Formats: sequence, structure tokens, C-alpha cells
Amino acid sequence: MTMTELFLLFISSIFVHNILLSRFLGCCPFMGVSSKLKTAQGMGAAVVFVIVLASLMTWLTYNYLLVPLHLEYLYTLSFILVIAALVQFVELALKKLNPTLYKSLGIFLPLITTNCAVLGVAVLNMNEGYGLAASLVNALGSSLGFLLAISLMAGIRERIEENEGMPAALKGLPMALITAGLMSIAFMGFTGIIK
Amino acid sequence: MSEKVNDSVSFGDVLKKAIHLGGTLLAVTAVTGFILGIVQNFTEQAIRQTELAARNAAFQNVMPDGKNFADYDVKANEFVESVFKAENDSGLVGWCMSVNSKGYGGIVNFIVGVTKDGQVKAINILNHSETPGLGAKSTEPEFYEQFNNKSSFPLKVVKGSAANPDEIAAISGATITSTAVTNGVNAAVEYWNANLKGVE
Amino acid sequence: MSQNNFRIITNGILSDNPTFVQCIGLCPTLAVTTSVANGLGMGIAATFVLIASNAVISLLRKIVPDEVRIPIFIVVIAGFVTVIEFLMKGFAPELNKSLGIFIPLIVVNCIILARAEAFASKNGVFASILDGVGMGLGFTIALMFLGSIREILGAGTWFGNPVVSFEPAMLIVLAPGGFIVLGCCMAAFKAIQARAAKMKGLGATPAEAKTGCGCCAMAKFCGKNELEKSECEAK
Repeated sequence: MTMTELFLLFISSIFVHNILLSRFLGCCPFMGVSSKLKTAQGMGAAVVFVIVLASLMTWLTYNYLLVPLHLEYLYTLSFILVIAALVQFVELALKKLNPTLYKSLGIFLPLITTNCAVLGVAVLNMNEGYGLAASLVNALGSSLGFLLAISLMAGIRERIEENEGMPAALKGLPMALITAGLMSIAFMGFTGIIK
Repeated sequence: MSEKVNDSVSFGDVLKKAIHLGGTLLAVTAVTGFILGIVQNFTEQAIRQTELAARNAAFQNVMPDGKNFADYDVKANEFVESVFKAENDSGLVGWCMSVNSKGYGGIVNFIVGVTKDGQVKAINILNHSETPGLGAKSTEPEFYEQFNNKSSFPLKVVKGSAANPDEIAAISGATITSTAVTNGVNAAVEYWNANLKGVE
Repeated sequence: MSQNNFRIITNGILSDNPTFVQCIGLCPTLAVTTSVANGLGMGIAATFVLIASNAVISLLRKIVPDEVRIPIFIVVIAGFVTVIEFLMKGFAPELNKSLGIFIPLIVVNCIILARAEAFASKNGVFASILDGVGMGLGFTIALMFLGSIREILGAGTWFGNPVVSFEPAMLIVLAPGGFIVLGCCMAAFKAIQARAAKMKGLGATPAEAKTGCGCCAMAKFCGKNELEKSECEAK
């Protein structure tokens, strides 16, 4: 892939194919941890970190282990194991090497193993047949898209939670889902930027 | 995982525990992998047959006069992935080309049937990841039947309804998908002109 | 079938419905409900994995060491997901294509891991299978319900057959429609629950505290509880 194509991939993975609002990957944390802006940003940052690392590891696993052994069909099993081990390892390493960062990100790490955005991006990279550079660019773009969407969502939710007039049935998750729908409509406006 | 290792616990105990935990995990993984290997062996045949059946059905759709479809060994290009020669009892009837074109959600893979005179007979979309309700409408006859028996090239995508023989009406809201398919068909015809014209 | 076994099944469908009551497994719920057929296919695939993994995990529950049980559950679930992927590729290629990436992602569907942890690892094989059937049916019914609404309003068809005379609102089958339809359905479900509770004279809805991913059995592993604790401390 040329630099231009990589750049286009980067932009489209953030805006056009936003991982949350158009691909529906990672909705559980999107709904579960988006009521406070600060925690939402922490979660988003941890996801960026893990998705990029996990994409690197799963790309290596797939191309240098599964393909040569003709075990491509074991990808689901090996990807999830790689991701689970990676998250454990990152947690331990962070605790030892950078306690400050661990304090702000560590709490989110166990949440991430079962976050379908991580496995989803790894499988997407494989399905699309991306090379190493394209995989990493796609991972970075997708995860930044996650950070963007979850931060926007938390900003909006902080405000609507204080709204007294809202019917009881809509409070909490239902309103958050409808808000996400409206955000998704707004993001559809980005469709035209990439031909 | 809880890692409460007291000082009073000896190194041997820790090692024993680690072996026990790691061993169980390894054993379960190994058994799962082994079972999957067996299942894969059984289903591989079925998967291959299903894929083959889908492809043959597509060949029949785009080249109804063809009887045998043989892999024709030629160089692939950006669009054309592989070429199959369609023949019946009286000889060559045309070519079935498997074309990949970049759509909105990813690659759109389809078969183009080109007759021996270089006309497009029909197309058949096999795989795509376009948006349901928009680009996914490319698999509906209303869109793909527009390509039936086309002979003026290159084809152009127009919004609204197609008036001229070289025009294809875009699916509303899915110009990218429509253009991707049309470009793929144009590329297949160009490929025929460059590589297959005159082949008996 | 005894009263108790019957309760296990109906729990999954009604009082503990994974989608409308527990609100877990949102990703596939939003993504594959563009049509009833897709919802049904996803429901069947997830039910198969749920029943099979519940059965195996229940069998293994005595020999699996506590410390590594989560990775072992994940391996077992991933194994069954791969099996269903093979079967779909071989025998239902169309469905496999339309569900796409969400088939391998059944592995990280919290419904399955949550049932393994909350039910199968503590109960016998038969009860675990019944739990899988109940939860699977609850999930399938929810997916088909949402799929029906989206397909009828968004495409004007039901199982591919035209059913309405008005011009369908395409937005409903697109991504935003997924969020909005699920949000409205959840609100309606909450309103009905509140009314039912009122009629029984219970006052506030008891289900209130159980909504959201905090109620999921995985919450104590996924860090959600710690997160809430730290949020409380921050106040």
C-alpha cells in the first residue's frame, strides 16, 4: 500500500467506518463506561493501547505461525488466547514499569479481554488481507475512533443525566442508545469524504 | 488472577502450582485443538463442495450456454483474479471472470460472463460486505440485471435512470458500490480485449 | 419436567432475558438485526455455543483449578465457535456471509462467558444445558423481535416477503436505526415492567438495580465493580 492509501485508510477507519457507530464493535463498554467523561477517556486510551499491540501480535501469530502450519482455521482460538495473555502481560508490565500510567489505565485492562473491538479489529485485519503496516494503521485509526466516540458520548451523557424532565423509562441505557443513534446519523455525514 | 504467594510457601510449592495451572490450561487447549482438527477434516469436504457449487451456479447464471467451465491459466491483474473458459458441445461460448473491486465496505467479488465476441452476458455477485439496505442492494436483480447483454463500453454510472446503452443507473445512496461494480465490469472487458480476444 | 427445571428455562426467556433485562451482548444485537433471518441465524448459532459450552464447562467444573478457569472457559467457548463456523460455512454459506465477522465474535459475547461463570461452573450438566436452552431462546427471541421491527419498518419485508404498503424508512436498517430501535424497545420494556410492578403494588421497579452490564456475572472480573467503587471514592 502506498502512503496515500494508508492515510486514507487511517481517516476512514476513524470517521467513515467508525468502529462503534458504524461497525458496532465494542458496544458494551460504549454503553457501560460512558457515564463519566474522565473514565470514558481512560477506557478509550487503554483500548487504543491494547488494540494496536494486539493487532501487531495477532498479525504475527497469523502470518508466522498459523499460515506456515496450515492451521488458519484455529484463528479464533489463537487470537483470543494471544489477546488474553497480552492483556495480562501488559497489566503486569505496566504495574512494574510505570505505576502512574498503571493507576490511570490499569483498572480498565481486565475489561478489555472480552471487548469485542479488540478481537474484531484483529479479525477484520485478517479478512481484509492487510499487511503489517496497513494492519497497524487500521488498528490505530479504529481505536482512535473508539476514543473519539466514547468521549463524545460521555460528554453528552453527563449533560442529559441532569435533565429532570426525562420520562423514567428513558433514563439511563435507553436514552444512551438513542443518543448513540443520533451520533451515528451525524457520523454518516463523513461518508462522502473518502471516494 | 490472584497471586498471593506468602514467604512461608516454598519455591517447590509455587513451581508445583504453576505446573498444575499451566498444565491444565495446556491440556484443555491441546484437546480443543485436537478435536477442532478432526472436525475440520470432516467439514472441509462439505465447505469445499458448497463453495464449488456456489461458483458453478454463478458460472451457469452468467453464461447459460456454457456446459464445461475450465480454469484458464492467465495472469491476474488488479481487478481480474481468475478466468474460466466456458465451452459446450459446439466449442467456445465465452469466458467467466472472477473480478474483485473495492466497494464501500470492502472488496466486492463477482463473476462477469463475457461472450466470445466481447459482450457482457451477465454478472453475478458472490461476496461483498456492503451496507445492508444500501450497497447490499447490488445483489438484487434490479441492479445487476442492468449489465445483461451490454455491448457498448466503457459503461458509465448515472444517477436516476439510465437512458443510453452505455449507462448504468446507480443504486440510490450507494454510488460507491455501483461504481465499484461498473469499474470491475469495464476492467473485465478491457482484460478480454488485451488477453482473450481471438482465443479459440 | 419438574417445576424447577421449567423455571430455569423461563428465567432466560423472561425474568433474566439477556437482551432486554440484563442488557448484555449488545454488539451482535445491534449489528445482525438488520433482518429477521439474520437475527434467527445469530440466535441459533449463539444458542448452540451456549448449550455446548455450558455442558462441557459443567462437566469440567470439578477438575478446573479456580485460578485459570476464565482462560479455560474462553478456550472451550472458542472451540465451539470454530465448530459452528465450519458448519455454517459448509451448510449455510449465505447466512455465514451475512453474519460475517460476528460469528467469530461470539467468543467475546458476554452472555456466553457470563453463563459459564454464573451458572455452568456451579451446577450439574442437565441444569446447565437447560440454562443454555433458556438463555439461548431468550436471546434468539429478542434478536428476532428487533430484526422484525427493523426489517418491516426499514425494508418493508418480513423474512424477505413484502408486508407493508408504505415507503420503508431505510434509516432503520442502517447503523443509526439499530441504536434507536433498541433504545426505544428497552424504554418500552422498562415502562411495561414499571406498570406491572405498580399493579402488583410493588412501588419502584425492582429490576432497576439489575440493568446494565453491572449486573453481568463477569462484572467482578471485568473490572466494572472496581471502576464504580473508584468513581464513588472520587465523589
